Formats: sequence, structure tokens, C-alpha cells
Amino acid sequence: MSRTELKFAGYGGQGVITLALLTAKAALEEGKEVSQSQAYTAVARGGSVWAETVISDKEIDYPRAMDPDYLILLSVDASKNHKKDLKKKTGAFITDPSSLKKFKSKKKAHYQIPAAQMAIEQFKMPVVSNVILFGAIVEITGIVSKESARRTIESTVPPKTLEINLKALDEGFRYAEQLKLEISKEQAVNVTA
Amino acid sequence: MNEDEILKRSVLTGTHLLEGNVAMAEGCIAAGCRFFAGYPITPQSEVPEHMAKRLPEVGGVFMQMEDEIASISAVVGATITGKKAMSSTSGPGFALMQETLSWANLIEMPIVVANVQRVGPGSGVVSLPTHGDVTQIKRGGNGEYEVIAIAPNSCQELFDLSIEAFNLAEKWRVPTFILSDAWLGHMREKVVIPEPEEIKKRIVPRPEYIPKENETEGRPQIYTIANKDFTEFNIPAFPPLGSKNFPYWWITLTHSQISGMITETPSVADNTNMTINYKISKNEAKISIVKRYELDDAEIAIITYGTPSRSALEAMKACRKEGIKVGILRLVTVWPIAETAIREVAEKVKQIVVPEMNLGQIAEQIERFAFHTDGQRIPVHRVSHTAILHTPKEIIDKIREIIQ
Repeated sequence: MSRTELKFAGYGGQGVITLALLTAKAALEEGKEVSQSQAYTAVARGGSVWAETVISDKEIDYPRAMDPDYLILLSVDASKNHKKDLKKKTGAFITDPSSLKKFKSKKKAHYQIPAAQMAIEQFKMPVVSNVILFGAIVEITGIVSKESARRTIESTVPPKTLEINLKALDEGFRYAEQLKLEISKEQAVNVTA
Repeated sequence: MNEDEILKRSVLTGTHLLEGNVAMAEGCIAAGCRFFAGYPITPQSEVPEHMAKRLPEVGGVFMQMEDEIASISAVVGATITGKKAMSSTSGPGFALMQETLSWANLIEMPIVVANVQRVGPGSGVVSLPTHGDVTQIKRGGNGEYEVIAIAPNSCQELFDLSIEAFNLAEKWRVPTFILSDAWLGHMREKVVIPEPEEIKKRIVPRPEYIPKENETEGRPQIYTIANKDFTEFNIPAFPPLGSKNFPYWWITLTHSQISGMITETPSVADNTNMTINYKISKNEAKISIVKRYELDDAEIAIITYGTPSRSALEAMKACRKEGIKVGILRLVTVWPIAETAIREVAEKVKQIVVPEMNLGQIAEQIERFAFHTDGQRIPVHRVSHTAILHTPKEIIDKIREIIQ
């Protein structure tokens, strides 16, 4: 993996920048080069937000995403404004159906992770939805090992909430793993059909 | 706290993921900055925020002032007491500092000011990047003066070059500026901070004032004295504040470089102006820091600085793959303009491309030096816009267009 570009978009308060930051910290855990940047409007909560993380084994020249490999969309507006940013044939969408119900991609891979819903139903804590999503992103993209992702959470969250956050991370791993399995089965069926 | 303890606390050895503004603040603290006065303004508010937390840990002082002119005046005051001091702001705040900055230039004050630039004019756009203040840095105040300005392009450089900025300020006794931008200031990247001992080797300490050596005609020498028709400059250390042996003062009116007293004599005032300007501009080759990439066989040179230099590197590599002979001259220091280095490059290439996050403030300077040895002018193509970081593609497109 020489260069992987992730782009995140949503609205302020969803933790879009936190998510980009977690992926950047995880890449640093493995000694990789990383550039994480973001745009934000003057509106703190509810305004549109996007962020990018570029991860590479080599020194990063241009620090922004030129041609994202993964586009993580968390709101209807984000989908409207940024869906077109994913041009790569091998690129994949990762979305949260809790906040972006109607989303379809005909030609590209699409992973739906209902992280916000899982956070409320399984953990009774909406705030961990980010960590679930982070776990899913790590599982889907393979940008870092699960161990590095765990260490990232350990060094980021307050000690009091570490246990629940690690559980949420594992839940993200598990959900994405199963989803990948289902998708590959579907593809196998499609091929034989 | 003893000195070793302070040094240890001032250098956060290790590998970190740091926001640009924080990396810059850490670089300044490592460089020995022990006083910061500032006022919040987007996109640089993380700098005072971080300084407020960190300076007391290293025996330093942080002051939030009522505005930017008060901030820079406090910085000048702290410098007079012997501290390494700085402020940080963005374009509109920088404009408010000009009165004191002009004076700081007159009295050859080694201060550092960071300008995390945002789109202007006016209040502009608070979170969008630009290099619109490049000219304001040295032409914003009244009168004429030459400054040193350094333009990092990564979070690592925001750390490393902040140390360099303090060193240059001390070495040349001149206000020195760190040119950052909204994009760079809010970006997070890997920053490797070496051991305190390693940092200590890099730091230029405030020169000590030696009474006998730093005297002219029995008076303390406070200001630079130019010799041999402004080709040699004797830059003195600061006399200690409150010395009983020789009272001295800092005045805002023009002074004689020799006596330090107010002057209204035209030739003396002229000498003062020439000295403070030529001290920097005539030493351009000694002060300038440039980086050269693939220039040996280049037919097209990209001359650039700050964040767009990273877009240029990506563009250069893509062009080289296509067989287009492109090289880069990166101006790490923007002021004084690196005349020698630019002339050297211009003599060898056919065309020059200048990507800038303004409408050509440095391109105008480069045009002054863009000649072959036979006097033939070579074209300088601008890739200019504000508010948006250059994509490598637009630089590549420009190069493809000009080689047609």
C-alpha cells in the first residue's frame, strides 16, 4: 500500500473530524506517513463538514486526497455534495443508513454500517457510534491492524470510557467482517447466476 | 527549575500527530521562546491556546492582550528585557500590528511573529488559506525595511523552521516572520521531535553584550554599523536593560546608528535607513534558505513556496514520468527574496512557472531576475489564485500548455 486516501463527510457534531483523526492516529501507530486535513464552516453544529486522511508508506507530497479510495458519507447533504468525489473504479462507499437512508451505488462497492443505530440500541451511548464506524473502516480498508486500532482508542478516549469504547470497536470489526462475508457470498451467487 | 529541567520540559521528544498550529507553537518553545502575547483570531487561535498551557510549564509567560497592537508592543517590551518573545495572528490582526512592527524594524528587534494567513481583504474568509499577506509582511508598515520571512510547508517544518525563525531573528537582529496559512495551520501530520540535547545544538542563543567590544567612541553600540560602503555590517548584541554604566533608550523617532540619539540630519537618517535595509537585502545569499529538486537538467523550473510547494512536488514527479524536464526551486525563506538562487536557475531554464496562493506577489519579484546571461527575458507563468490550495493537476496542465 503506497498511498490510501480516505474522505469523510457529514455535518458538524457527528464527529467527522474525530473519525478522520482516529484513522490518522492509527496510521501513525504503525509508523506510516499521514496527512489529515479538514474544512469547516463557521457553524459549529449542523454545518457541513468534511475531512480527509491520506496515509502512505512514503513521504506525502500533496497532502490532500486527489482521488479517494474510500468515501465515508454520513448525511444526505454530504452525499449530495461529495458522492461525485469518488471516481476510482476500485473505490468504495461507506455509509451510515441511520442518517443516510436512501443511498445507492450501481458500479462501486458500498458498505452500510448502521453505527448510530447500533450505538443507541446496543450501547445506549450515541457517542460511541464513531468508534463503531472506525472499527468498521479498519476492517473494510485494512489500512491498519486491529491491534493498532485498539491502541489508538486506548490513547484517545478517557480511561473511564475505555471499556465500552473497546467493545464498540470490536462490534465495528465484527459487523464489517460479517458484511464483507455477505457481500462476497452475493458476488459469488451473481457470478454463478 | 534549573536550566536542564526547563530544556527537558520545552522539548516534547517523540513522534506525534500534531496540528500545524500546535507544531509551530512547540517549535517556538523548543527554540527558547519564553514570552507570548496575542489575541485570538481564526485560523491561528490554537497557537495562543497551546502557548497558554505550555509556557508556564517552562518558566515562560503568556499574556492575552486586548488587541494585536498591544500584543506586539508587549512582545517588544519582553524582548528588551532579554527574553525571546513572539506573537501570532492572522492577516487582519497583522494589519493592526503594523505601527509597532515598523518601529521594531527601526530598532532592529529580534522578534518572531507568525501569520497564519486567511483570505482577505477585509475580514475575508476565516477558514480559507491564502498567501495574500506576503507583501504586507514587509511593506505593511510605514517607512522602508527588509525582513526575514520563512514559509514552512508541513507540520514537521512548522516545528523545525520555527526554531530556524528564532535563530535568524537573533543572528540578523531583525523581526522574523513565519508564514503559515489556514490550511497548514489546521492540518495534522506526523511530527518527529528529537532529544533536548539535539535541539540545544540547533538553537542560536541571544548574544551576550560585552561592554568593551560593543562600544563605539566610548558609548554602548546599540545598533548595527555599516562599513565599507554597506558591504560589511557590525551587528551588536543588546546592551543589558537598566545598566548603571551606560543609560540607553529605545526611541521611535529615527536615530543615529552610531550614537543611538534622535537625529534630524538628512545624511544620518539616510544612513540609518540604508543600514537596516541593506543589512538584510545585501546579505540575501547568506540568509536565504532554498531547496532544489531535479534542477540539473530542467527546462522548466517551478519556483514556489509554502503549501503549494507540496502540490508542485507531486506535479514535478508526474511531469518527469511523462518525460517533461521539470525541476523545482523552493523558496523556504520568502524574504529577503533569494535573488542569487533565482538568477542561477533562470539562467539555465527555458520557462518558469510560479504557483502561488495569491495573484502573483512573488512572481513579480521573480520577473525581475528571469533573464538568461545574454539578457534574453524568459517567460514567468503564474498559476495564481487565492482561497484554494493548488492541485497538482492544475500545475501539470499549465506546464503541458506552455510546452505546446
